[in-house]
Amino acid sequence: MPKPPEPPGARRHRIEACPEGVRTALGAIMAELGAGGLGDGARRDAEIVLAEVLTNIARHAYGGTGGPVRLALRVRGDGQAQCSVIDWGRAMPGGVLPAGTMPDPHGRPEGGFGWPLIRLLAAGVAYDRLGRRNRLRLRLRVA
Amino acid sequence: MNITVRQEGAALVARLDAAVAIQFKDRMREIAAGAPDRVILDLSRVEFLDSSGLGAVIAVMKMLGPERRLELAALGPAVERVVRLTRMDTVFTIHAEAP
Repeated sequence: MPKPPEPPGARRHRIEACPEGVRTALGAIMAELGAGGLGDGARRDAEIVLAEVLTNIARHAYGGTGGPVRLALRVRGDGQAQCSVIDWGRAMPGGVLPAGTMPDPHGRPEGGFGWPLIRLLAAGVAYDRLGRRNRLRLRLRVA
Repeated sequence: MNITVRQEGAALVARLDAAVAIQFKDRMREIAAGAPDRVILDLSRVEFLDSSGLGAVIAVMKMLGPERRLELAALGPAVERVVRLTRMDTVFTIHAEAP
């Protein structure tokens, strides 16, 4: 099986797609990003993006039954972090990323904020399905 | 005469996320049963809020029903970011500090 392409020089994380696994992974990744020199605002936004991405995988790709996630993250010289996230769960509906329109707050929605937040806070996001894998590639900006 | 009822529930968790969203809603449901018509949620100890946590807060607002208001207080930077980006700051009354 060919190795999925990852950013060169990246730090790799094996994550269990469940709420506790997401917490553990975020703790490790945020410590790493701090060491990578991201500013507070950027780290804050990166944590929101990664929390939403990983929670969506746990909830939708794996349907809450758990499964493996591989995340690779590299802070580039230009201050952006490049990240790839791979899972072996269900494909995105229609094979494309959700539109990410923020729900009307006055409808008092209890969900649907995840992808709008990802789209607002990430500098770039791309999705592809590689065989049985989902791959998200994210660019996270510096403050 | 103004009477302030202050009910100190269990201290709010440091992270209000998918891992605790259901637990948070359940605990708030218990507290809400005897709640007055104005409930202020002190978020000063919450360092991180994701969309699941926000959804839980909104669920609590709805649980309190139209006759009782849920207001938010003491939002840290990470919590405020999510509340503003989702424009939920246009729905909740937000206080800079907990009463």
